[in-house]
Amino acid sequence: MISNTKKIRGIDFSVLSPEMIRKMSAVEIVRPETYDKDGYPLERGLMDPHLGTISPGLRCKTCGQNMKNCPGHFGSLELVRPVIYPKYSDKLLLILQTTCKECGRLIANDLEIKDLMKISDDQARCQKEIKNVLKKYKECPHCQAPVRKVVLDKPTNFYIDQERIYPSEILEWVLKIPDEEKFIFGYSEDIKPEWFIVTVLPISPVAIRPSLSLENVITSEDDLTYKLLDIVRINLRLLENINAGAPQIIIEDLWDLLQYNITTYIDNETAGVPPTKQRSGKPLKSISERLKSKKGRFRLNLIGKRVNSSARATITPSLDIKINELGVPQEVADTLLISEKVTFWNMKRLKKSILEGSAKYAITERNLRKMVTEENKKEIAESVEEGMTVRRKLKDGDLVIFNRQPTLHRTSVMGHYVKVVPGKAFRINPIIVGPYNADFDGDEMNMHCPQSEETYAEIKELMSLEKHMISIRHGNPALTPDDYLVTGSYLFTKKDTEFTKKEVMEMLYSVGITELPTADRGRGNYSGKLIFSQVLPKTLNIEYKTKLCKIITQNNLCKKCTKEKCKYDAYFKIENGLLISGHLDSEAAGHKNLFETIYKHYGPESIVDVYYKYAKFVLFGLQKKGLTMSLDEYNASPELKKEITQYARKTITSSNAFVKKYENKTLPLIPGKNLDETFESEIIKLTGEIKAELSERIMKEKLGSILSKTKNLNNNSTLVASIGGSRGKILNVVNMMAFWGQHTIRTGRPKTGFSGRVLSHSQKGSNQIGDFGFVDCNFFNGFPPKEYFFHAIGGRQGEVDTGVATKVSGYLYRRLSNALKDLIVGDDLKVVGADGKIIQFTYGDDGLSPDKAYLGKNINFFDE
Amino acid sequence: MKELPEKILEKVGKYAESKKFSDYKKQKLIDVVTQGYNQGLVCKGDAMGLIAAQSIGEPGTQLTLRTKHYAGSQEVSVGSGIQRLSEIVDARSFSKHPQMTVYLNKEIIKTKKDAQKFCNNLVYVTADDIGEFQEDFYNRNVVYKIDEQKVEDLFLDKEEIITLIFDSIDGLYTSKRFSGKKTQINFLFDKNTPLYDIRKAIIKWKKIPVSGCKKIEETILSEKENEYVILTKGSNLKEVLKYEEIDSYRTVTNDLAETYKILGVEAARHAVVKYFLQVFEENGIAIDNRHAYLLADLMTSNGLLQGVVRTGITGAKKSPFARASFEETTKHLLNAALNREREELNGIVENIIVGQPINSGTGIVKLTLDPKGFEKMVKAKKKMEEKNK
Repeated sequence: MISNTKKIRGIDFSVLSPEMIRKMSAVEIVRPETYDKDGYPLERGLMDPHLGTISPGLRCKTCGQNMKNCPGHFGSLELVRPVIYPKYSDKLLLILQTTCKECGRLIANDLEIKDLMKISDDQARCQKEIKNVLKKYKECPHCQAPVRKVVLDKPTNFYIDQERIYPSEILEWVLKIPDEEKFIFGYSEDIKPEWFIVTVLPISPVAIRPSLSLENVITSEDDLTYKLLDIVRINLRLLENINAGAPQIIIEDLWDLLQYNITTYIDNETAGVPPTKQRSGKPLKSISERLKSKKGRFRLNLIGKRVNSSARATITPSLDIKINELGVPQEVADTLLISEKVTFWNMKRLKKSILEGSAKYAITERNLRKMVTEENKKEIAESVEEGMTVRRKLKDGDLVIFNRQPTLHRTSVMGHYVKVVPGKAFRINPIIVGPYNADFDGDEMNMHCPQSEETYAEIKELMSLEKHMISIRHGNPALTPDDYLVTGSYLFTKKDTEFTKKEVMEMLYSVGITELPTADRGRGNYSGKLIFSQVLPKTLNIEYKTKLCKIITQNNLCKKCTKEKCKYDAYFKIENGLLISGHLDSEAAGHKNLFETIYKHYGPESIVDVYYKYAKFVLFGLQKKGLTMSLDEYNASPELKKEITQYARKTITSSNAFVKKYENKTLPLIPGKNLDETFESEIIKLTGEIKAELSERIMKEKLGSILSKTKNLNNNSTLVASIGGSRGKILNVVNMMAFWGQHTIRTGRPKTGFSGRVLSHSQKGSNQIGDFGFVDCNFFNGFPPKEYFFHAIGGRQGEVDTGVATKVSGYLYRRLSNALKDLIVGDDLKVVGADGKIIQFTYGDDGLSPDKAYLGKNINFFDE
Repeated sequence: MKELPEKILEKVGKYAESKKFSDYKKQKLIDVVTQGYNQGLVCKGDAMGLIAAQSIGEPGTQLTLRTKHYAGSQEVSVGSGIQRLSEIVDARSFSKHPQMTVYLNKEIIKTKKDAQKFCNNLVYVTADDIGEFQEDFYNRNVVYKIDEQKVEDLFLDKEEIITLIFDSIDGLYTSKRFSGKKTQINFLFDKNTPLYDIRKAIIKWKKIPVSGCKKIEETILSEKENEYVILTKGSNLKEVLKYEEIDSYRTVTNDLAETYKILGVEAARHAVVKYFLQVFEENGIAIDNRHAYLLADLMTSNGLLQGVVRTGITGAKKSPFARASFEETTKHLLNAALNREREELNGIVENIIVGQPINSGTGIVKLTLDPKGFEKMVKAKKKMEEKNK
């Protein structure tokens, strides 16, 4: 297919000469009008049919083609008086400043001109040199006329000694300059400075400024057309006035008006020029605004293009959808079509699909498209033969592209297998939200249908979800269960979790396992570990220490590691696909343990399967076991309460000692810091230390109850979530049970607010820590107003920070991708830029791709 | 098949040695490793540049906004988070939190006291920092008084310092002399000297350097792996490298532009990688080193340190479309016309703009299938099969 298309090799940029504009002009415009009374375009008007056609059915008068094929043709407008092209006026200025008005020669003697010629390749240096030479002369070395300073009043007005010089004079001046001397400025035969003065204005084709017809009666014109109308009208008036011999002032005014209109036609945001407005007051959109910025042609229409064959819908989770599948609503599947070429092997099926009505078009080899209807479906089905193409609706097993915005990395766009489902939302397995960064609070996602065999093959081999199980960013698994799935797996595989036979049968059947293992617990019950093992490949062996193990060793509860016989069940071990000890936690999910091992040793198909079953089991288990946070959990025992108050009092009393020393100025200074800074850091250090001490104490208390044999989980749900690694830290428990401690904003304690104090609740000039963000209340008892406001200060800062961070990082990302996007791996693992420049001789110094290298390990040259 | 890199080969060799493999077994192991290595290689046409950009940009929102943090208990503030990242990527000429790590020459500095002395001496001290100018404008008399305590804290020699200051001050006064057991310098001015001029001179004298390196505001001595390391706030690599007491091979600054200026482009490349990875590590975000290498190599590929900004790498691109699609669209198009540039359509965006297949990934393949020829081939094959039957 590609072989038949034409290829653009390159595009040349240049400035058009007046002759060129005249040559390429299809029609010369003279009338400042568009349509006549009947709505027909006027000859030699701005909508002249020679400029191309935009109405369907009409043929272009220049090329004779219809609307679709006519590329549009330029017209021209002969300006009565020349005007300056505003964008290049500074280039003209340089020439005018450094050449003589009388003879047009460069102000330099012949020898200097020769020297300048030599360096004319380096324009920046050459121009500097020209200016240097200019300083030497007070009169032209060629004609002895005095050198006078030319000033540019931006954008277009030139003055010599406060006397205006008009474009026609400038044109004469520039024409006088010999060609060799123009060359010094970097101009050649192909581009001449006199072309920066507009004598003929190209009139753009109608295609880029179509008129809108509203209700067939009123026609509304494009902004550019309005602008061009003004230009043509003023040009005409100028001509009439000159012919009538009007006074110089009137002519000059009209001339300026023409200049103004052309300036704003090109750029309506030119500095120093009031923008032209529509009658409604909205500024007109000029040519340069059409191209510029985010909403301009380049970034809106050329870099990103709109597509057909796509769908967008809300997403919703479903455990019955496999992780590499996508539940596509019936309505979407019926609307989107994909082409399938008829071959010997699929002929039967495609014929059937035509009869069933699931195919919509049959396209013959000669590109004749027949629509399948109730009446002709039998006839078409019979006519189907090899080489034809059938456009059919989506069905189960097709591959589509699925995407969520913002598309920050390549795993935001992946290939999925279609599974047609009822309803109106896309359904995905909740395990795969990670790479898309999706959730189910109303997120919408997009689906794209491949429209050619090449696309289909690329989706299958490059984009499909199985190919992206390892993230190319860091070489670790891209899909990691988080939050509730981690909690679920912890509860599921905990030592004392049991399931009844009924539950087990339900679970196993739901994923298609028909073999029931033998019960390993009393009363015919099954342990969670055994059921979990059904998910795993039968030859898997893995062992490591769980997160709980680390917590226990930190708290000195465990002296010697007994591995799988650990009394806390903190040693994770799988032997021959059987989980014999330990529980699953975020360690298993996140980093290089269970799931990655399965992926590396059993391949992508296996991991897809394991994840699917795993999610089903775990969520079933979570439903059965449940996890509730109870208020009692955060109600400290009376002894603990007493201790907590002691901690709070201790903080205040020891801080008061600092405050006293600070006020007496006897605080020993930290080297390199003054009194205020020392005081600040001492207080922050003190409050931090005491809070750390307290959280250790509470952790010990909580850990004691979770590890004791009473199996009383009800009181420790927060800790369950924390130990499993899904959410939360002991710090959160401390905030709820004990006290918040010191609030910090950005660099330190809150300091600004009212004069001499942060909040109006505190006394002026007080240095008590309670007045600067120290809070000795907890969430359980609630915050009084002062503490509440301190909390709000922190909350607001967080909100502002996230807002700013997205903005900053968004721009950083745009710059990075613009700079790096052309770097591509070439032959021999070289990394090559767009212009063929080699950036790296071997990619990443070893040629390995981060997602393919084993366990993401790389040769780190900082090691040795 | 690409051969194994030396380092991996070395590792394999060591492993084989430890297991006492025979030559045959060792060769077999190498074969297996080579195969694994070749499977992990990047493919021709892979857009590794864009992947690097994505890998850096995507976790950008997770980076903290904190502008500075304190490096451990050592209270030297260094930039962190997104601001620091943008500083590195832009290759900005002035770092917001310049900082140096000065390693000491073990042969000269042996004890902690030596180290502490050198550490204190490194701080930039001016005459104003260790003393005071007392003005008596009525008598046109100015006294400079040295603060002995401060001098002692800095391990400086009082005599030496005061002579130094005495010698380096010259100008308006009519006479100068020591007084107060050589802790003061008295300056006498002519009665007609304007007060304004005296003040001006004093302001100038206050800035007289006494010891240390310019721009270094604070120093902290710390112990790292059995040796003394000085952390500084403020950075002046050029001056610090002149000291004999330091280990000039390892002393570094976190200011990229300075590194480039003084140590050259290779050092700058190394520094970009190091500080770039440091930002991500501090924020607990995993990122592969290769992305950093690629970025650093691009930034230094022209032999100078260029930032990823409109005036840097993107601005230096050859293609007008690539530049126009980034920033300052009209400016780049107008300049392209003026310089009669040619859009060669080699890059990615350029081809997307004109609607052609891009030169990367599968688009790099120039070989295409002739559908009719293929059909003929299939038919011929069918015939062969029928014949065989």
